[in-house]
Amino acid sequence: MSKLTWFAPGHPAQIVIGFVIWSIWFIAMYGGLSVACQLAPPEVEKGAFTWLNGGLIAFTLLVFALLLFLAWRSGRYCASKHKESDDAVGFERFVGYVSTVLYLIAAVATLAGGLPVLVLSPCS
Amino acid sequence: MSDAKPASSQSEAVSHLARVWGNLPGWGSLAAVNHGTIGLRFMVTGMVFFLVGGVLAMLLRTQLALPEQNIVSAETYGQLFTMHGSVMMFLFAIPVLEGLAIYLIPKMIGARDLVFPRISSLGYYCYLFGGIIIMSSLLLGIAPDSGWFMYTPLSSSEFSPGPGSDFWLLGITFVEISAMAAGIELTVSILCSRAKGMTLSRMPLFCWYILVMALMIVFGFPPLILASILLELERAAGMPFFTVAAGGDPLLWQHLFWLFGHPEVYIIFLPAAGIVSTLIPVFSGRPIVGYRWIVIAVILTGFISFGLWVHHMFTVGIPQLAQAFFSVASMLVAIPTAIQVFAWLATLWRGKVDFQLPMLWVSGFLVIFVCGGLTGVMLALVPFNWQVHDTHFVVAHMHYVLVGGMFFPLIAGLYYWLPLASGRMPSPVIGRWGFWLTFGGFNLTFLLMHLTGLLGMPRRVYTYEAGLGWDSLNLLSSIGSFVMAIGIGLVLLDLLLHFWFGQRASANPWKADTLEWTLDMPPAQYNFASLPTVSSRHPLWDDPQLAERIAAGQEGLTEANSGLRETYGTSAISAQRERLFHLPGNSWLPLYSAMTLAVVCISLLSRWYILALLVVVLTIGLLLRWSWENGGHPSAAPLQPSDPGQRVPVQKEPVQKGSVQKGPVQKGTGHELPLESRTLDGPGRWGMIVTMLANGALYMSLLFGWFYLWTAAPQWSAPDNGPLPLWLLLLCGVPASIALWLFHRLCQRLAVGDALQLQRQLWLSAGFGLLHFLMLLVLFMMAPLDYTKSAHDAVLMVILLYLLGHAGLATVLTAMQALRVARGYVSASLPYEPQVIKPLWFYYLAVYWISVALFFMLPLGWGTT
Amino acid sequence: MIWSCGLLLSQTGCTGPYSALDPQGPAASEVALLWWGMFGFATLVLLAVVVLWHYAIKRRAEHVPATGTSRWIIWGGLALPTVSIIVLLIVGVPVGHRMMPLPDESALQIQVTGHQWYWQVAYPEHGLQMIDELHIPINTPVHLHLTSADVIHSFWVPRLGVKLDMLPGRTNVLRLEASAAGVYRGQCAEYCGLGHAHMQFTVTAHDEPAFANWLNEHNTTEQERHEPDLLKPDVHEPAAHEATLDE
Ligand code: HEM
Ligand SMILES: [Cu+2]
Ligand SMILES: [Cu+2]
Repeated sequence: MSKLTWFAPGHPAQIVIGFVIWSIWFIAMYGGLSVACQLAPPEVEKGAFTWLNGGLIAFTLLVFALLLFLAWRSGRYCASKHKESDDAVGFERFVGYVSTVLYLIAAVATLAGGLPVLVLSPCS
Repeated sequence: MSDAKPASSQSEAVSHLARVWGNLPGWGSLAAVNHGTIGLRFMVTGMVFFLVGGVLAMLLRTQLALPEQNIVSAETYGQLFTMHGSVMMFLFAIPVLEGLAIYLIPKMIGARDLVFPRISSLGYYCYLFGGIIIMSSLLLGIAPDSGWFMYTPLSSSEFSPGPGSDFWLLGITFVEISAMAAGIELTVSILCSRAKGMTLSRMPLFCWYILVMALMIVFGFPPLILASILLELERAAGMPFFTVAAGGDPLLWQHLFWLFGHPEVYIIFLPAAGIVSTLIPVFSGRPIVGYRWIVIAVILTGFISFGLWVHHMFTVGIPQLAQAFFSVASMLVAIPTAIQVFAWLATLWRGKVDFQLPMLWVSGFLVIFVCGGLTGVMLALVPFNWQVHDTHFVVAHMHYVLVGGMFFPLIAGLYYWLPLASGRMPSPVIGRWGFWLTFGGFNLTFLLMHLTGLLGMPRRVYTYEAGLGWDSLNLLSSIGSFVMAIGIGLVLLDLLLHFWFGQRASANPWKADTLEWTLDMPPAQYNFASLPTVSSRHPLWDDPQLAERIAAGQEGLTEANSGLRETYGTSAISAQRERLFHLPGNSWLPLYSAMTLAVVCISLLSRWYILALLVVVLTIGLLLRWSWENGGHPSAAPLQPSDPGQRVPVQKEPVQKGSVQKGPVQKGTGHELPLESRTLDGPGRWGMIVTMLANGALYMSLLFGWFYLWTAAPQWSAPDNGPLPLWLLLLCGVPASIALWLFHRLCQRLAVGDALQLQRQLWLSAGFGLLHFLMLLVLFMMAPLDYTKSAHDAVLMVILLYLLGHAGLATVLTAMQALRVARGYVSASLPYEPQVIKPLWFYYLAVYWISVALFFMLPLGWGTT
Repeated sequence: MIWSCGLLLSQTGCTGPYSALDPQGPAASEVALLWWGMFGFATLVLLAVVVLWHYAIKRRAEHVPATGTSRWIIWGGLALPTVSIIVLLIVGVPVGHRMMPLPDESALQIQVTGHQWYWQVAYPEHGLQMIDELHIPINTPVHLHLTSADVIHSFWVPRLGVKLDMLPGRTNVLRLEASAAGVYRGQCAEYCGLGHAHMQFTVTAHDEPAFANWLNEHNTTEQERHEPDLLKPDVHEPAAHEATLDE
């Protein structure tokens, strides 16, 4: 159990990594938006069709894809532990399950948070 | 674990344990550090503050009962609502829940105490003294009056020249020490001292909730501490962080405050929800449905609640996209809440419910909290928020979530755990009366208040015109609040009386599943006569003999070896026993330190800065003395003949962090394991790491402030050339880096048992640290910082002071290590302490270089925009 | 409680000079609609949860062993909030969007500066100044340029629209519109010190000819002559105001 490294599926750190990535995404989105609006605000008339919105949505999709991949990886691991039932495996399954769901929710939360970028103009 | 022992030797062992773990008699109990004692003190003190806050609330409601009343003046009303909010949030809600956690966690995870008992005590005294200082302002009639979130510029020296704001800023920061202490201590305790076999997936849900709460405190409180320091610096020293004309911005205060403030409401809610998740399975007589989903929900809440703070600022004029962003995140929080509600429902559905008094309060919680959650989702919708923000609708919402989400579960929890603490059962009759009065009164008061708000009554008005449609609503609200007050009075009376008149409780009266119910009622100071091993999520349900085995001393660590307080240290992931933690006993140092801190606080309030400085030095002296009495110190756990004099000749590669090293062996008592000071890892090291996380959060908040002012302050201006020559900063970093490198190297050598020239190496490292400190000091003195005229310079001043403080601390601690080597408290056999200090050095160096890059280099590249 | 609330509603009605539930402008109307929708839905959810809770406690279940993820969690814990949030956002975000003060030629521009404890109102296009009262034409969007001379205040006319904070050093723009003539009351919504409870103002909405009349009258009588002593000397930076008006 202790031989797993933190990025291997089944390590307890996996439980939080999904939302750590989400947090970084959140800070980057909010920070990037504020800084960009300060330095080079796109015109209000353009609405949501600006380079800034484009960048933000691309970034969001990238993070979304990454989180989905991690969820898939973790879910596969969890499924592989299904059959056995000794103690240590029970723990690993727990970690696998919890981290899979949290990755998935982080992915959805990322997408949901990014969607307003499609309809709102960035700096007004 | 040993075989059954004859009864006499067991009772001997138990009385020895009682002697070792007992508090001192009489006044000596002020030196108590035991978590049971401290937890109860926290809770009792918290309830007293609750009464004070409640009386203030009654005054508010009396004034508002009828239109155009003049029972209190506008001025007094300002003090009343500010104090009501602040007392309820900072002196009641958080401390009471911390107290509950401090009291329960070791009992639930099968340990004898928390891992930093003296810190528990320090936290309590900081809370008590801070609370008293804050309350004294009310008695003197100079209480803070800008609202519990202290928006500046209203709270600034220009618009609040009196000492009210200072009382808030200094007093609350002082109280905050106790929250930080509890956060760090609970995190480390839950991670490192659980019963053998209690893996993360077997931990009682309450512990998950507290773990997440504790980590939220660690990350959530630093922004407020920073904000308070900055505002106090603005008020006292004229550093214009929040003054527009000098390049500051009042909105920065709001960001920092709510960056703390929103997580804070979840810090309050999570332990309360933890109580609910503990009680529902017990009274349903079955395991909770969806344990894993609850864990998921709790973690989800912990993270998402840090991404919501702007929903308190929707009306300040933030760009729509940013608002939408926070609006979505705010609504997302409904998901973990819904998961929990439906997991509870499913548990009740599938169980046979024994509807006892605590369940009544849990049900009250459910009705009120769901309602508050629903209005919360409404408030997260930006256009609706724009309409009802800062009205009585928000006051109603907030009380639905705070009273419903915190007070009701708290009372449920108190009723549930009372038999444990007192050995007696509460009265069902008074209890029910109390509940229904509280519940009815609460809804009468606050349900109507939603409507009052929609009809346009703003919050924080001390009076209102007749005939605006608010009259009857306000009157009913006030009547309701008095009904509620009577109800709460009954409940508290019941809780109090039951200590004398309650029926004796039988063992495990609610048929619960968690370890605390194996204890004596009331529990002994050492909790467990022997420390249990756990092999399922519900030890008491799956292993009915466990309580007997524990009492009979058939589990682990039955004896207090050489009079030391000890508990098992287990690995965070696999919950295997790895070492023994030596826990310090009764000590006056926490009381003295808190007393000197209180003097610092008072002298800052009175603006006696010289005195403050002197006492700060005294406090640091006390704290260093405190850290001196650790590890191999004679008053702690000195080397024994049974310790291997020479360390076992060791392998070439460094010892693994988790691995076990041989220590003194005493068969049969559980002392096969080494004390942490004989190994490379222990709670102190984890405490340091978690502290550095909190410290990092503080630093990040400062960084946030810097970027924020830079991009958003209306009149930000930065000089063309940085005030400090860059090459000097780079040069200055060299000795610091060398000091770190030396320290790291000596730690590595120590880890493989090589203590050759240890003392010299430590001195050398401290020397380079000192060199760095002095260079930085000179740089600081030279820097032409116009810190009262420019927010830019003021921020640089703060960051330089921050760096100086850390450089000084790391140097002093390293020098102390050298001295301890000289005394023999640190050696090849006692290699632990340098490992504790190492994270500080790493943290400092990281922060130093990041600061040079972001505060000094980046602006040069960016230029002035 | 819900019934008692309903009872009270029918008694007191939702009217009142500050009532957000008695809207007279497009923004306030939309918010009031939002409220009734959300109120209805929330009541249903609350009732459903409470009824389920009650029944779950009363019912005598045969002991079912724990198995996997409960359907309760999937439907109640995940699906219910997710769907509600999506619906709410789809309805709510456009409402917020319509309230935005996008550049608008037809809008009347007014500057309002908050002071402890009064409102200083200026019509830059007409050279008018007044205290604690605004006059606007009906069915015409008005862009209010809000700022503060001292602490934070918040501008709020509940029957016409939403509130917006007034911050020192910044100018926020609020778009309001009245759909019927009348006198509407406004008040400060952000605690701003001792006078907060009395920091009120009125907005008089005139129909088109009456507003023109009013403008004419006041242009000729030279407001400034009898008002300036009320204005604090530190009322400042007309430059800043103009700059924001241009954008
Ligand atoms: C015991 C029954 C309580 C009553 C009757 C009550 C009453 C009130 C009233 C009338 C106000 C509004 C003052 C105003 O805006 O003019 C208020 C504000 C507040 N209450 Fe309570 N309260 C009670 C309990 C609590 C509890 C238990 C908490 C927290 C755990 C709490 C936290 C707050 C906060 C944070 C504020 C905002 C203060 C501010 O505006 O600065 N209250 N309360
Ligand atoms: Cu919040
Ligand atoms: Cu005000």
